[in-house]
Amino acid sequence: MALRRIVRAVAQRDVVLSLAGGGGWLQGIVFYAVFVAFMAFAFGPGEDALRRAAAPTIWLATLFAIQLAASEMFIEDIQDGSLQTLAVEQTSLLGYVIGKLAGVLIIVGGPLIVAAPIVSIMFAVGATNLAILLPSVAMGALALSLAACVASAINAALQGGGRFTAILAAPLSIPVLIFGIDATSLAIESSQIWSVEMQFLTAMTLFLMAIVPGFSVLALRLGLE
Amino acid sequence: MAEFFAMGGYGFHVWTCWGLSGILLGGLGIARERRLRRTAKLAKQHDERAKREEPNP
Amino acid sequence: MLSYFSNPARFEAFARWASPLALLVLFGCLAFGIPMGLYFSPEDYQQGHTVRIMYVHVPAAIMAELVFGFIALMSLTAFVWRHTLADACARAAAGPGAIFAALTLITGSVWGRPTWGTWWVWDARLTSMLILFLTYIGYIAVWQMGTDENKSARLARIVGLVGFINVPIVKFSVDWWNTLHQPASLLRADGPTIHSSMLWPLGLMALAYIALFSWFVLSGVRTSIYEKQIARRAQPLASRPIKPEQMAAGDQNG
Repeated sequence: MALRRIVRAVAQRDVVLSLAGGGGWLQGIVFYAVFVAFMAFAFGPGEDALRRAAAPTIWLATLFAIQLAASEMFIEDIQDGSLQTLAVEQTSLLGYVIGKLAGVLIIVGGPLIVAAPIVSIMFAVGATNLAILLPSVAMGALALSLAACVASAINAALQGGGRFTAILAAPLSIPVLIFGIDATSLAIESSQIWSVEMQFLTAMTLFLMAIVPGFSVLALRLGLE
Repeated sequence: MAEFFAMGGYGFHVWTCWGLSGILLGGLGIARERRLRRTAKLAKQHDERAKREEPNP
Repeated sequence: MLSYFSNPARFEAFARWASPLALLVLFGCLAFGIPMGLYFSPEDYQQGHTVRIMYVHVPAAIMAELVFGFIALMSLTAFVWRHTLADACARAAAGPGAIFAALTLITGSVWGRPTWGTWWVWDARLTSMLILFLTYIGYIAVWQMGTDENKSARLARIVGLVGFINVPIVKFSVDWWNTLHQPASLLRADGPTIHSSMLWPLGLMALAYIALFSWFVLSGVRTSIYEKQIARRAQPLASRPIKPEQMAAGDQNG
């Protein structure tokens, strides 16, 4: 099977399962909404404080929602044997990993990206064009999913039950957060889309794209032994 | 002597740093040495028992 | 040279004289380094006696970084040439590395109290050391969590390599973040001006730390060799793999 068809089949299966199985996609967005509300209570209703907290809130909510979803992205497939079947059939595991990533991005990332402008309205951001923060948030969702993906693959191979994904993903996520929060803040405050921070965020994302799929496949193969 | 331990008023800071370094590194060193001796002894016991049980090759 | 040490028996023979040598260097350096650092070296004209913290802080910081490089190198060696002893080396290095990183954070913080006026400042170097410490914890967790040692070893290689590639990225991002968000702090711990009377104890302590680390690795690897021997003896005869001695006999050019 061609790589593209595997990617599509895996992503499609995950999306359909989460829509039909009632909850996969809801879990992420509900968590996101609750987290954002808590942050608003934490910072108080004052507009200045809220405005400063807008970008960090969006980013932390995205980080946690993605990690929540991604920490278990491979475990089920290993436990129910479907990954084993794919490996036995000589299906490209690279295609499988990319498909899984696409699935997470559609199921969890998609709703979060849509929700980001709504959060910025609630956090008293005065920008006229709220779509301006979308590129940085979308890029961030991709980078954070990649970081969580390799951590989740290692964790699944260890059969550790999803407890170590966060600590394994943290060193990779921190640079993403640093550049991402600044990129979003700049987009909100001074309408800069292609700022230096955004360029670094893009570079970090490309770097993760280069290394994560290969290492994830390696870890998953070990997990299957 | 008291002057030496006072470290110009910074005795607490200096001695905490040196003390903790010594305790943590020394502690790990002692733990490793003890573990090495224990496993070496155990390996030797296993070895001797194996030799007694299968004197063939 | 790499394949020379991949034989456990030869490593054992090497460790038998290298371990005491490492201890000799360690105690030799400490015998001069400690009195020089604590008593004979001058106090800094700006920082007074707190400068003596430097003699345990800077070597720990250097080692924390070097050790992760060592882990990555061993991971790569294990990855490419499949030397099982390289995995054992990386494993033996992780614990000391984490302690070096923790000591850097603790001594940096205690040094920061009189220097910066607070226990913790999100100084660029302390922050990236904190992230390096997290990386160590993740690496150790992979070894601790797994039930199958072979599997853990191979997964740990991935964590070691990815973690190492990530170190410069973290450094760069934290520097960026720090200079952007934190205007120049009151007093930098950058450099108490180092003159030669301070360089001597610093060099001796650094050498002592390197010797200590070497000893940690040697003893850790020896322990894991013994552990493997015990595990092999505990197996029933039929499923027993070929002994390393037999492997060595057939592998003359190795």
